[in-house]
Amino acid sequence: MLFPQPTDLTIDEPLEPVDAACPECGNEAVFKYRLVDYRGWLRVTKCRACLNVLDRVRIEPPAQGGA
Amino acid sequence: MSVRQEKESSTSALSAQEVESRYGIDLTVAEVLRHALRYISLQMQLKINAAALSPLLSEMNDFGIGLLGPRDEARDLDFDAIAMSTGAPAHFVINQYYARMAIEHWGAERFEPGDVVIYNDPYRGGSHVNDVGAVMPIFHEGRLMGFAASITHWLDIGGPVPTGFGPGLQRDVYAEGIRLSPRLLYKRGELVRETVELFTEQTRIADISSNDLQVVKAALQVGADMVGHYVDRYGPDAYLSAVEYTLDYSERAVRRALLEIPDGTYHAEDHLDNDSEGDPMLLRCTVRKFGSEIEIDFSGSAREDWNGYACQWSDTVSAAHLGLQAILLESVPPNAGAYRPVHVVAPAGSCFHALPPMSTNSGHLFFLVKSTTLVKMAISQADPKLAVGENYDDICILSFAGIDTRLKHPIPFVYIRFPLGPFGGSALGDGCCYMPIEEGNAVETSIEFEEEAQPLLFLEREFVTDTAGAGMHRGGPATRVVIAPLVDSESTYQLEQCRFPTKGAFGGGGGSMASILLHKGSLARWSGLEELAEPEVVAGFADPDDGAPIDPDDARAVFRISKLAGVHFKAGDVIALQVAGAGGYGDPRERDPEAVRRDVRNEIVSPAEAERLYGADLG
Ligand SMILES: [Zn+2]
Repeated sequence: MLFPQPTDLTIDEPLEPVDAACPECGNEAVFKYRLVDYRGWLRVTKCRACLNVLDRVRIEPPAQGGA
Repeated sequence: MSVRQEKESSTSALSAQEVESRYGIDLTVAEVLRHALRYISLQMQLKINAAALSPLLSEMNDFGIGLLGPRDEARDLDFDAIAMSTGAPAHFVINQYYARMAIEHWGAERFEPGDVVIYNDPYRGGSHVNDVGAVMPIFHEGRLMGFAASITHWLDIGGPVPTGFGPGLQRDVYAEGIRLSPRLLYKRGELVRETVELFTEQTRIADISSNDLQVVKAALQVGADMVGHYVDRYGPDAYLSAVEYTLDYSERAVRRALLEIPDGTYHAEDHLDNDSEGDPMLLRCTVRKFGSEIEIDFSGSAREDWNGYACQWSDTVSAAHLGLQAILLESVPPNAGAYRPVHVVAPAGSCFHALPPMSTNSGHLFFLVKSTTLVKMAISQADPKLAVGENYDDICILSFAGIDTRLKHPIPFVYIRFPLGPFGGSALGDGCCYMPIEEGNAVETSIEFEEEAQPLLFLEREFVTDTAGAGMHRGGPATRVVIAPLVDSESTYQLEQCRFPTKGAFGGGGGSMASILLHKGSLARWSGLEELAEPEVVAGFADPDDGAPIDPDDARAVFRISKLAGVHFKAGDVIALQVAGAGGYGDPRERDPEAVRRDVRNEIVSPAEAERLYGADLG
């Protein structure tokens, strides 16, 4: 099949651990992952405890759907 | 002062002095223009209502229309949605992606006055192929001030399935109908014939399309003209300052409301009745809330599936916003400012983030509503005063298409009905009984109109006794709609909660399950005042021997898939569609006895159930 369906039955957003404590709250639950804000896709480094965003890079989507 | 404290102080209302110093306009001008933007979008909506031929636009309000700002880095504006009409909220948030991606694809610098660019590729930040987007630039003395933008649900978009909804039949996006990258519908005010012909030649609604494409342009023009009027009067700089003020106003309101929700992490879980093989699909949502920030995460949900069992990420994001807006106690004017505090995690390849070439036409409806409900269910746990019982969480569909052979000159017809349903009970009171879903805010077309316009007869539309989830504040009851096609028809149906009932909140009970039953050839019996033929289960739990309805707990019960296209019904068949009953809120034993008596009088609850569930003494 040209475009296979994922083999995992459920899908998680991959979280890349970051070796840093949150400068806001000191928690170590800081990860790098993708999310959508009100203008589109971001790759963030973000604290899962206090939602402080340590870093954000906008992801420009490639043309999809055959264009 | 820390950054966090600054964020929280930014939620309080601004004084006139602060408005003046921050935006360079006085508070009166700021408020006049903030309301004007909303008013303009309402006028645009009325234009569509008044002139469209498609009942989905003229009657049902299955569209969103409004205004976008320009791109202006200094003012932090980037083609953001600045005002939306009161049409279907499913079409509000999504413009943040759908319209912007279309403008960027076309090239913001390429627009000329009088142009209209049209598009419907769901993989470009959209929802599904039926939702046709359009933008018209707004110029003032050669300066681009923003766009008028619309999303209108097209009754038919070509492809193999009338109305476009083809669960089980549309394997991938190539089987959905026409799919347009952004292109001109009008060039400097002149209609582009070749674009119109895509609709007149490739959809089943040539007449409707050729009219309604022009109506979309007329409505966008209303917006562009009215913005021009205000810009003339107040000047372009004051206008853009007011746009900034308007976005910040909504952002402050949402942040203020978020501060009221206790900080924490909240989970919700639900299922879609079936995937394309008939197995349930697990759906998960985690809401993380801290201060005035919120992150809504759909990780852990089922993988995407072929044949319509997935939706676009942009749809999921839109739904997450709507779930949050729906549960806040104060309503906030919908614009991009209101969306700023929200982050959404939509894992790629899950049913909430389809990868091409998955079909998302039907999944648009399933997952849009499921994700809104999941957000509400998760936040419900944060505070009893925000909690709600689960509503019917589906944009249900029953469509009929064919040839009206009753006429001297038979003509084709395409008809779709979106039956409404009940909402869950909440701290404030009982759930509403018959409501459009939050994403819809749509009006149901009148039965008299439908019987006049289509070869259909409506035999019944009634609340069903003992279907409402019990509670101190009960859920709304289910409604049953009974329809008979008068000519042979091809149908699509999509109906959720035929397998998993709605859930109550804080001690409230769940509601009843949904179903579709077929009484073969029973219209003649009904006309003769006889009982309808024994029902056969179309969607829901069936006895494998004869297809009769069966108790879901019976070991022999088989589940018949609750979404399917290409189903044939005969003239004179009678089809009964019943939506789910909604969940209740709080302990039923705490329900006001007078309210229980009223429910019994209104046949919402039977005397036996009043006694069993509520301990009512009706003596
Ligand atoms: Zn932190």
